[in-house]
Amino acid sequence: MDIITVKDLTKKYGKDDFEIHAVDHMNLQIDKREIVAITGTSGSGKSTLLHLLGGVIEPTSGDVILDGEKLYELKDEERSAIRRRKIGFVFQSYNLIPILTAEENIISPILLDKKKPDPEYIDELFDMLGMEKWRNHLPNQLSGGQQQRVAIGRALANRPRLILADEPTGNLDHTQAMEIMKILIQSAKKYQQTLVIVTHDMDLAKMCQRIISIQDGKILSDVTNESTLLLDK
Amino acid sequence: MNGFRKFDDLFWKYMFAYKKRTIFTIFGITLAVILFYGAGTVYTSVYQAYYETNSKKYGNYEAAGTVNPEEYQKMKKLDYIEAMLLYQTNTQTIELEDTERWVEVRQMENFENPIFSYDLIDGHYPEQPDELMLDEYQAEYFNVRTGDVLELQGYEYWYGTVRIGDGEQAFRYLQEHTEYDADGMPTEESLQIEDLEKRTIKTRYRIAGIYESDQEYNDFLIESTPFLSLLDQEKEYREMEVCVQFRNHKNHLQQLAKEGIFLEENEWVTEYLKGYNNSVMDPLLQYILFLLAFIVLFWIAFGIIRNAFEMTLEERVRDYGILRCMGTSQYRLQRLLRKEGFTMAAIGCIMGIGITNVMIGIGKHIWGFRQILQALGIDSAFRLKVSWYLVLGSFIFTFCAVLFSLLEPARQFGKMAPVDAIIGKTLIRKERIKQRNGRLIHWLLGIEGEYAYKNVLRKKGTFLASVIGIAISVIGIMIGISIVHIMNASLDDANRLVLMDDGYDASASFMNGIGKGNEDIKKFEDDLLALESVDKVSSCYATQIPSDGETFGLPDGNGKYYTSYFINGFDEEQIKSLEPYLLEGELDRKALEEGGVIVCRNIRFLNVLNGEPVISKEQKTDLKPGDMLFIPEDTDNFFRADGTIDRDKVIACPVVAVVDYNPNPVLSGTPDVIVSRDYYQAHLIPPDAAAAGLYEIRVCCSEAYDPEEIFEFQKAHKNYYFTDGGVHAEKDMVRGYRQLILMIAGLAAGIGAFHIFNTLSFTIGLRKREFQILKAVGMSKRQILKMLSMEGGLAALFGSLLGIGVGFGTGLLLMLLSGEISSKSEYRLPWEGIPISVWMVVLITLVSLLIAKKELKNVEE
Ligand SMILES: Nc1ncnc2c1ncn2[C@@H]1O[C@H](COP(=O)(O)OP(=O)(O)OP(=O)(O)O)[C@@H](O)[C@H]1O
Ligand SMILES: [Mg+2]
Repeated sequence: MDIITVKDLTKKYGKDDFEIHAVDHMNLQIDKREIVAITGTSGSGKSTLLHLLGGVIEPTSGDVILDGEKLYELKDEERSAIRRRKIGFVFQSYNLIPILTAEENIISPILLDKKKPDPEYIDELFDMLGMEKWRNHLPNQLSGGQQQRVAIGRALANRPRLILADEPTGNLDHTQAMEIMKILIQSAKKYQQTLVIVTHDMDLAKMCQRIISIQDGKILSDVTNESTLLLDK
Repeated sequence: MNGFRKFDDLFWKYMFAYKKRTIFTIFGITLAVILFYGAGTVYTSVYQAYYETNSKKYGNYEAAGTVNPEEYQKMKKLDYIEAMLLYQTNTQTIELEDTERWVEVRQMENFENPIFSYDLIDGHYPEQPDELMLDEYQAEYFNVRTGDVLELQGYEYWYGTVRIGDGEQAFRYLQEHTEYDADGMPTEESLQIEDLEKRTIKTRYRIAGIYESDQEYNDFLIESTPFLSLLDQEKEYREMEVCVQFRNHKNHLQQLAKEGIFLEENEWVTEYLKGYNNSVMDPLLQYILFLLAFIVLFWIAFGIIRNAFEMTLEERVRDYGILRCMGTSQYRLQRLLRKEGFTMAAIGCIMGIGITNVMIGIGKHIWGFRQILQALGIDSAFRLKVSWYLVLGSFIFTFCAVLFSLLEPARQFGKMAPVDAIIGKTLIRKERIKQRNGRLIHWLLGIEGEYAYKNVLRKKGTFLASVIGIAISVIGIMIGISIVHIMNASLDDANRLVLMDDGYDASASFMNGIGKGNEDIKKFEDDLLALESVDKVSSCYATQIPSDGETFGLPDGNGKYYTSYFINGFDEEQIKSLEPYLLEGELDRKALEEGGVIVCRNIRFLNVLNGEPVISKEQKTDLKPGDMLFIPEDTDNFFRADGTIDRDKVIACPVVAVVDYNPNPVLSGTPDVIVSRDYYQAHLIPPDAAAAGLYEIRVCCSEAYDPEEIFEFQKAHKNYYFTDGGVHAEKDMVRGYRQLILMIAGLAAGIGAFHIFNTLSFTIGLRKREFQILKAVGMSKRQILKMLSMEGGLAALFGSLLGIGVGFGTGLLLMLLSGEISSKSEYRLPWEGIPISVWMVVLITLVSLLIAKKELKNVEE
């Protein structure tokens, strides 16, 4: 059963001579609970693809079907609702709201959806992230790795079905990167989420079940990685 | 800070997080509200005070006039007359030391009527016709108190212009002997004063009470404030003064006129009633001014709020991008912004309204404001009047400005994909900067200049914000100065109208000059000079020579007609002062002592031409040096008993000099002939002339002018008479207005300055990273500051140009409009506003740089 279906998706930038097909007539399916790595060289269109999957940029043509809904046929209001309920974003540069504390950042998507945060679940998240001590710190009082943990916590807050992470470890050293990867994969398993991670670090990609590598906006290879199951034990 | 329970709590969290911006924005809104609400509230409060003062003073009587008993009876039957009040005024004299003073006795039907409200401070209201009540200053001046008996005297048959007091005989006489001209007006010539037997009648009044004066130490008060008494019901009056109140306050003057009863509108009251049209300003003009003011204020408020939002959005573009990625819809984001805007608007509004109310409340005690209120005669009634329309209006005004301000930034933000916002793409998308220009500027101003130029082009929004900020300050100053000019012009007018352009703004004379000689005048002068209030005095000896059309008078420009003139006896010093005005001949002392005369070729007029007042000169005589001027020998007894002029006794005086005009004229419009003081006293006036031929002592008041001192002076010297001319009150009022306008200009400058500081602190906060990079690339802190000051300089330049342009335009418009409203004699553009503005702009820029320096330090940490 697939959660994401990408149909003939294209995203062009620029005009005439400068026209770039960041994503070029791409077709793709991602199953529920799959853990997918997207790799490729710089400028190959990884981020663009991920943003299109999450509905945060408009495609030039084609559509993304998320859980049976055509993302780009929806109105801004409806697409926003899908984003906050079904998708959790993690960016390379953490992107926390600077004026909110770690905890406030994490609960903000819940509040945004006009729900009450479940204290047990929040405690559980902090426990999993190893961030109990920093609940009331502002982002600029945290290290990069800590900030990324908060960002992951925020992405998980609404128990989304899909986590999209764009080079979540890009700014971190190797040990930190492994830690973050572990947290992401663990939580995906625990909460039965689909995880799509963009990375150009093959070591990290190998931790995933499926590795899609793209070039010039096209899929170059799409392989299932059996060894991850071992790694994951 | 805890309390993040709802997502929309973010709005106040942002407000707290960006404290400086919030405070600056709120201050900006507050100042705009102070301007808007303040202008409205001052207007309504003044209006209300006027209404209260006038309705207290004049009741709700819309018309007044003189009627006879038949007319009065007729009016009683008219259904459109709601109420009437009768009173009777007659003039009597009161004896004082070696002189006497005229007083007006107003006999009223009763004292319950609100038309004239007299607040008792002592005793009771008169209950009998032989009881009197007078004003507190009069009581002090005449040195009387409640219970005293005062003796007034009046003529039984009082012959004035037309007024007839009591006395059947006089009335009948007038009926028989009055001739009427074509317009049905009685001609005065048909009556001879000798025909009326003048008999003084003394009346004794007991002082029943003393009433509160509504003005402070007004020297006119002694004469113009009435003594009050009760109407003698037994007596049959021939003519009565009546005040009328129409039913439903409708204007029925026309209908009354059809009945043959002519009354005058009581404008003090009708000014505030519908159905009458007495506004000083044309209502249309008033609306236009209101509209203009509203638009200007709205744009100021809009400019401030809009720029604040634009900056806010630019600052938070990344945060909002994150929120969008998290699944916040555009609508929610806009709602967040709106909430923030409305909160700041509400706080700014409440603060603005509060501060204004407090300011107006204490404004009464500020010198300048009090002067204005006093001059308007509403100082006691003036109270803060909170109009709920205005409060509501202020809120609507700022909320509209907020909504309006959010439109454009929200639209721009809406166009961006959430992710673009995160990456930090700015709202300004086009980034095409012409390389060539950059190079030229690099060559001119160095690398800092090039960067400054590029930054300005890249951040047009913030640059515009600074420009607008500077422009608002400059416009405030320029318009303020324009208004001060208009005020000054009106003060000049006041001076000119009373012809005191050489600084003499008051005059003094003897109540009774009979038997007074040069020594008494010298003593009078010395007494005056001893006063703190008086700077200098100049005695004016003059007498008027009427024209008989044939022999006497001054030959006019055509040599045909004769016009009456003043003959002045000048002392040496005064003659010397004529030197700058000499046209022909010489100011020859010897010739003057022997009876030579100086004539003024022209007189000056204040005219209103096409609505514009001008000082014009008019030639009054073509006499030249060597010509003869014939002066009657006895200027006091000019007319013979039969009313003709005795032409036989004349003195022929040779003209020795002609001057342009007399800079110290006695009376406007009358040409002058000048002789030496000695000759004047020895030959041209009778030896027993009152006060040795003195016309008046012209007085130049000092800065320390104090009405109380003048009042004491008058009290101590009952024969001295001091007339202020009202110029002082006017000067004080103008100074008060000036103070007020400077305050407003200061407020505008403050708004502008806040605007600039807001923009600046924002820019630096936002460009932290840019500065860090520039420093990393090798730019020194000084160079960064230099770059910033160049950016500031550019904003200052454009802002000043814009401000001066708009300020000049508005100033010109105001002056043209004010020319319509009242007579101003000289238009001047607010040139001196330019240096003041430049200074202020430099100051603001310098302060901005200081702030920048401090902020840069913060960046480093
Ligand atoms: N907003 C944009 N405007 C114009 N071109 C863009 C924009 N975003 C991406 N591109 C172009 O699209 C192509 C794909 O960009 P994308 O960011 O998806 O690459 P990437 O694979 O994520 O690279 P990296 O590994 O460096 O992050 C690039 O050539 C890039 O220049
Ligand atoms: Mg990328």
